[in-house]
Amino acid sequence: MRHIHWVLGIGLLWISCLSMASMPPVFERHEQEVRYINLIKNFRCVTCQNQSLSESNAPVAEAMRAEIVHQLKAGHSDQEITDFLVERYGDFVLYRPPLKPHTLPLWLAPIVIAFIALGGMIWTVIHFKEKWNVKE
Amino acid sequence: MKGHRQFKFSWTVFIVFFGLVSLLWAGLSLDPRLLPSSMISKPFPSFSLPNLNAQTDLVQTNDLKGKVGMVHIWATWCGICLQEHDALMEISKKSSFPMYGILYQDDPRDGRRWLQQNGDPYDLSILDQRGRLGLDLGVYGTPETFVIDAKGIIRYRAVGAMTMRRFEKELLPILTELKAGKR
Repeated sequence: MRHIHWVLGIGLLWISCLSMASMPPVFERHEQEVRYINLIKNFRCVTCQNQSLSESNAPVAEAMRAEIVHQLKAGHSDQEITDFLVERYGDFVLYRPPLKPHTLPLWLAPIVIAFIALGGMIWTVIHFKEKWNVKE
Repeated sequence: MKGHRQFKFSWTVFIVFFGLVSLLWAGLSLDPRLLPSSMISKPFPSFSLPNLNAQTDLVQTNDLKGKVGMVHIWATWCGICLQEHDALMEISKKSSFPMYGILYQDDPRDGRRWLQQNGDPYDLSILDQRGRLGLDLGVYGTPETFVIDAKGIIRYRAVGAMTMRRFEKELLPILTELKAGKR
């Protein structure tokens, strides 16, 4: 099977997204652990891009989590850690897209489309009511 | 509804529908893995990591400066890296540009054994066991190939399997121009 390496490569990558998470890190202070759990929920795994860092077991996610642990223990703030990752990966690494001018279409489009759809439905019902002879 | 108005109504619906479909179709065709590298035109991150083949020796950022070259991120657990390896060996033999390897998030013994079995195309191999250098490079996964200039500035990033064709089409033009001082 000539293409076994492709199959293996894609298969391994896929499996790495699904497998069980590794051992959770141990923190000295509970407050750090709370911050850690919150932080890893808010970053995207760049390999398995529909998963947050808390869900993914891809190697890049492991490296990012290890870095977050390292920085938390070194006393960095949540903002510093966020800036660190965004500087290297761009806004895309934030699991929730930030509300910036260039992401406004992303946030507003679903709402706008929903309104158009709703409006269209109401209009259609009103204008076709006689034709459909809706009986009371 | 009179015929004329019904005609206009149907057209409006179709236009809106096809407009939406086109927008979503275009969105689906975008590959999220091909995000622009935030590292282009930035200096190669500073690092101090063991030489894979002599772990007591430390390789540092300055060791990558002085020549226009390629940096390749790979791992033994990466199936695509095995698939592309023949091409990498060929590129390394045929091109005059140095190729540096970064073993990413992997066991150094596995790495050395892998290179022994499959061939070593690298002028220098760096061990990034924790993956911190990969993180500083904004790596999404393996394999990835960077082009750096003589000053150690990142000039290009290629994600995914490297082939002879990709090398000739994407990397060689940049490498040649950088060497000639045209960029």
